[in-house]
Amino acid sequence: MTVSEGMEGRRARNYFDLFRIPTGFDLDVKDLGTRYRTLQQQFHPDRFSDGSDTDRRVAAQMSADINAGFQVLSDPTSRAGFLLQCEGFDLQALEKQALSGEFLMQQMELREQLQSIPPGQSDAYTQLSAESRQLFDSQVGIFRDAYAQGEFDRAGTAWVHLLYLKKLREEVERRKNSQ
Amino acid sequence: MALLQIAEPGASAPVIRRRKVGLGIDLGTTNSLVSHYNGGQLTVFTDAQGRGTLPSVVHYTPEDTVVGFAALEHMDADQADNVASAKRFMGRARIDIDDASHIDFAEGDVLAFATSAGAKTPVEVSADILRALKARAVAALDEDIDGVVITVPAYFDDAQRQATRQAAEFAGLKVLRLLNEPTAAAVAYGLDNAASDLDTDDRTIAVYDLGGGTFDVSILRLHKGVFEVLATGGDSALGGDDFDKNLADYFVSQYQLSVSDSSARRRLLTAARRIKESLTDNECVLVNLTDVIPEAPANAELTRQQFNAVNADLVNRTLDACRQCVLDAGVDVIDDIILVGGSTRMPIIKEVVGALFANEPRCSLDPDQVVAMGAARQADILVGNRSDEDVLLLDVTPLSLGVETFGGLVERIVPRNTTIPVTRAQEFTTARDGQTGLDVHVVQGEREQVQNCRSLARFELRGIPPMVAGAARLRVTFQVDADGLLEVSAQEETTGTTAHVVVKPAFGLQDDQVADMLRASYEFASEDMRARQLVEARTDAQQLIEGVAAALDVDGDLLSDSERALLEQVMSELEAVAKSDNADEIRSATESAGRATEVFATRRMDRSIQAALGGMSLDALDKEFEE
Repeated sequence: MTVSEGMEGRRARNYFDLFRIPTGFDLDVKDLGTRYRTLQQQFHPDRFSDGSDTDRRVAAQMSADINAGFQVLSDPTSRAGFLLQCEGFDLQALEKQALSGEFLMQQMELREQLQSIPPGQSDAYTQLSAESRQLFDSQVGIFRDAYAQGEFDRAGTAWVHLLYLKKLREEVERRKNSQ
Repeated sequence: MALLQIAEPGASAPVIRRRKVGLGIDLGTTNSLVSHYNGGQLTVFTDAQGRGTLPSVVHYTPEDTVVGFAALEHMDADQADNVASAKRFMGRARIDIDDASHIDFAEGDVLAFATSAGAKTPVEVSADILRALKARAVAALDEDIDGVVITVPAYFDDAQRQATRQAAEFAGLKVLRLLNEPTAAAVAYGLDNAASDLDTDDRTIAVYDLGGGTFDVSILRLHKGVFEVLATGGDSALGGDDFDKNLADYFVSQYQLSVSDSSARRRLLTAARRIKESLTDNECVLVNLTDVIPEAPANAELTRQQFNAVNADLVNRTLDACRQCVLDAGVDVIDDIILVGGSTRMPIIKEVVGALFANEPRCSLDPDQVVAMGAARQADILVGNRSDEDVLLLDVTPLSLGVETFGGLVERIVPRNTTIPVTRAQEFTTARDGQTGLDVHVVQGEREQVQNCRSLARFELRGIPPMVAGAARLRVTFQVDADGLLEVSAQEETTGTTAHVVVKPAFGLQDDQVADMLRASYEFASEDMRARQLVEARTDAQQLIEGVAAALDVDGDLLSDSERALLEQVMSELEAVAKSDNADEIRSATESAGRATEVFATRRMDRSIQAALGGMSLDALDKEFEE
């Protein structure tokens, strides 16, 4: 057997550790970008293009981890999800939780509103875009608070709300741009 | 070669060695070029007549293979033996070609052109073009070529990239990297220097590339020597040739011409191209097609405006792709526009692209040469001639990758515009009780239905122990490397059953056919070459052994005693094998010994993160004080 066989079941990386930043919801996105580029400058497989196969393989995995970490941490919704994962939650199970009737009703109304905007009404899109942004931000506030208090159930629900609102915001932007 | 040579910050390179030779190759649909950067100067190699381009045309006869301008001379005489635009067919199968009426394909499943020298696949044709380019560079430099960077359209899918790599292998070239054409263009303009002069934080760059046969647009961001491709889009079946076709069709309907055969059609297209080109510098040109079709009017006129109207649809299609790309990139402002491809000489293109991005396009470099020049700069870096100012290129996947799920739907695993290299995994489960196998069908494309996407590979995960439906945990992992090439593996997590494929070009070549072609391309390998291979294999093995020893001295504490003992044993076994005279054996022993060092290498990399990011927080604080 070779040493590399011991690699099976390699543990998932803690992206906060990877970028050497404290674990937490609030982070400086610009600083994260600088760290991301610094690490890629050093570990991208192109930096090992005249190196051995091992160098290139390990560098490719490292570089892929850096890419994944940057993607996860730079987006508030996926960052929130990652924090919950670090606390031992199964995200797939969390996503299946029952949401309040109030939240679901609000989502349905917003989607109906979006679908009923007649062509050319860019003001209506701008308004809906601002409204969904506001709802998103308030859930971010709830998540931040709940996470800091260690109320992970409440944080989990806020995260699922964020998933819904993120999709809504993307849909608003898509329709706004393709009108 | 040593195990993970990680540059210590501030340490200078200890030894001076021969500057290695890397080439940049633009393997184009219509024309190809080869360029070299020697650290100070960029050269595009020319032929004896001083021409920088090499027409991507190959003429095959049983006696001879002729490439480029010489092949063009046979264009009318024996057209079946002349293969042009092979790039359009790279990585494609017979069934992929919609309109093949004007091409003589060879019989059989494999897509190949019928010539009097036998069937020639697009990969073989491309390899012949690459050989001609290599010969041109070797003649000019009088040195061995250490490696090449070959450019491909950003929109090329996995099969097309694999085919390009294979063509280079047939031509005996070591590919350092497949580079997307727009990225290469941005590198050629040296915008990295421009940015550091201005001390700006970020620049966004739009690269609009309209070649003979393909169109793509990319949005890049440049930040302190790192180029990130934010988004890419385009149309792999739209190019300058389509403008010629439109114009030819316009003449046919306008003057009610009858184009009797394919030769007349080709001459009409050539005439249309000349007219298009002269409209670049003239507002209005005289149209005389009597050479092509005797009954055509001898002195009609065509204005630039009329030409633009005929092609408005094509121009708009490119602009739509630009808008989508800006949306995908999520940027507001474009700081630089770069025009690439001979077709961007059309004044209408400069005009509309400048208007769309509200900025004046850059066009100081020859749009036909800019891609090869950028590839040459990057080849110089990748071949091992490093400096502190190296730019790093972070590319993205041009198309989404996924697998087929129930009902012929696609489950996306790696969305398009994801930065590469990337590793993504998705879990699936079994649908039936007692199911023991899983078909994994890998596809590429943006559509929801499998039938509308490109099929890349199929493989089966067997030996899943019978369980109730939904109990098995099947993990499918996609890995895309820095060239955009894909590997897929699947694993049943409760038992560890695995299956693994490197996605092979799906254009119908069987492995043994590939092996035959490779053998043919190596058949001239001399005794000298074999001796050299043995020396190289021994050197590689020795470097690995020494590298591991040096790394153990520094970071030996990262391994447990038993891990260290095992590694040392592997290395002493390699040392024994390296004494033999069998280059293949030494190579494969080096390969497996290299794999045995991976855990150690990974731990060393982890340790070096601290060195890379060390002191960064302090730096950031300092900057805040200055502001």
